[in-house]
Amino acid sequence: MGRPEVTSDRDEGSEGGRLYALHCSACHGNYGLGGVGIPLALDDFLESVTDRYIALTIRFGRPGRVMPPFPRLTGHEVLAITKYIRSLHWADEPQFSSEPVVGDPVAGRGLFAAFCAQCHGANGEGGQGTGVSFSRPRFKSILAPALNNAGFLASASDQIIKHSLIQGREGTPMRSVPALGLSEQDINDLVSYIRSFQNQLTKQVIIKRPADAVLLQQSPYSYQQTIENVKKAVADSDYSVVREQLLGEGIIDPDEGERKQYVIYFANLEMLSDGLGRDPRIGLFLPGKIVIAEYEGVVKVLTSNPKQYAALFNNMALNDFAEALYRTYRTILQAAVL
Amino acid sequence: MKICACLRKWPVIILMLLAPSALWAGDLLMVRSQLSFSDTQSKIEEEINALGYFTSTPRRVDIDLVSAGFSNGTYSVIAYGKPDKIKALAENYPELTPFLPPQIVIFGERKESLLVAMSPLYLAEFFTQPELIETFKLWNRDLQIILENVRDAR
Repeated sequence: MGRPEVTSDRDEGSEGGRLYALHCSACHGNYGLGGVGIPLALDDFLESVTDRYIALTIRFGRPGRVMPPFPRLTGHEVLAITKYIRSLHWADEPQFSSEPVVGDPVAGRGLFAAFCAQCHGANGEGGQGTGVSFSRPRFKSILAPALNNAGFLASASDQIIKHSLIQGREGTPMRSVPALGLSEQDINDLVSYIRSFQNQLTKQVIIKRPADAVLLQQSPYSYQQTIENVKKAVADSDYSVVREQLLGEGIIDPDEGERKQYVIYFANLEMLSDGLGRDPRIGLFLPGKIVIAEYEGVVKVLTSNPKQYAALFNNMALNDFAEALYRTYRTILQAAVL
Repeated sequence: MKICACLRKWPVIILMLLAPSALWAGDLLMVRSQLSFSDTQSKIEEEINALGYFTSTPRRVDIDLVSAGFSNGTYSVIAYGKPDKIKALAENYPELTPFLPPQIVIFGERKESLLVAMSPLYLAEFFTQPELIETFKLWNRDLQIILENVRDAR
């Protein structure tokens, strides 16, 4: 099979091309060259995966690993995108047997620790972090996929995993394992061990969306006093108020009558650096934002619930950050109304 | 240890169980602009204004990040809205205020830019008043137009 540097029988005006531009190109690049997501327009990738693998990956995504599922796309639309991705390079769809690979997962475990864990993690959890990053230079190879991910295990057949082990992935650190001295039995044992990750799926951290989008405290103090209380609580929690303003400032004319919705933005360098380093999209919610609003004589202190962030961005790397921010918000809100 | 056939379906079952709680595409809107960061910023303001929305001054959130070791210094957030609508919503639905006004994040990636926004429809799961649902639908439609126009700009 040839390896021309460029393709294309791709048709950007096709339904698949249009859907790809709409749903995929932000992460995988306009021509499948990668970015936030893995590059798709690689011979080694497209020669290693079936259309079924691509379609199931679109449908189920990779829970907690940024790649979202697309349950609202019709089957026809998923297949159209799959066809478009297949057209990104000259590789034909490979044909694999559906026969399960029979191996010894116990033996495979030792091999995995020796040959795979350095990149894919001790338990197949994948490379640390995600492709969404300010600082990860794009010339660097992609992050090692999470092999213990339900989306991967649902999409990849045993034979696809075996083929990837044998072939490796050109342009990435993934090497052909026979070149490392492994026999076919070793490879079968590795496949069997990777498949056994599905026995542990129920123990994985599952990102859950919280029941409440907002954290709220009612204040017994006046509107003005509550604003001062919030600022003091922010300072007491080792954060700085970075900006304070009426809600909608810059959009609503300041002379348009009295309004009692005040916003306090707060941060410290650690908060910004940690959050944006994990996922720059979290900037939608940074710096921290607390609203003090008076409604029918009742003063309320409100903020968005950080526990929804990991689910919103489908990024498990945000779990700890969101939990810490949740505790910070609760502390500040409670202190402000004490 | 042998993996039995029924266990091979386990990942699919897990994914089905995750369905109600996991992110579904549509909660987050992301597009890639082929324009530079500064051109993208100008273009998005133009597209937002074209639909009758006002924009706030773009807010840089990356100050100090470069000194903290980040290599990318091109990052900003734009808030937008229609003054009367934002004012009315804030007065009538205080619980919505943490999400007002809507925002779009822009960050540079090589010579291109990524734009990210929370879909207004995401809020419909938590705020179910009919007036709000209609607003979220309208905002979502307009936001998609804005993002697609920026995505297609050359």
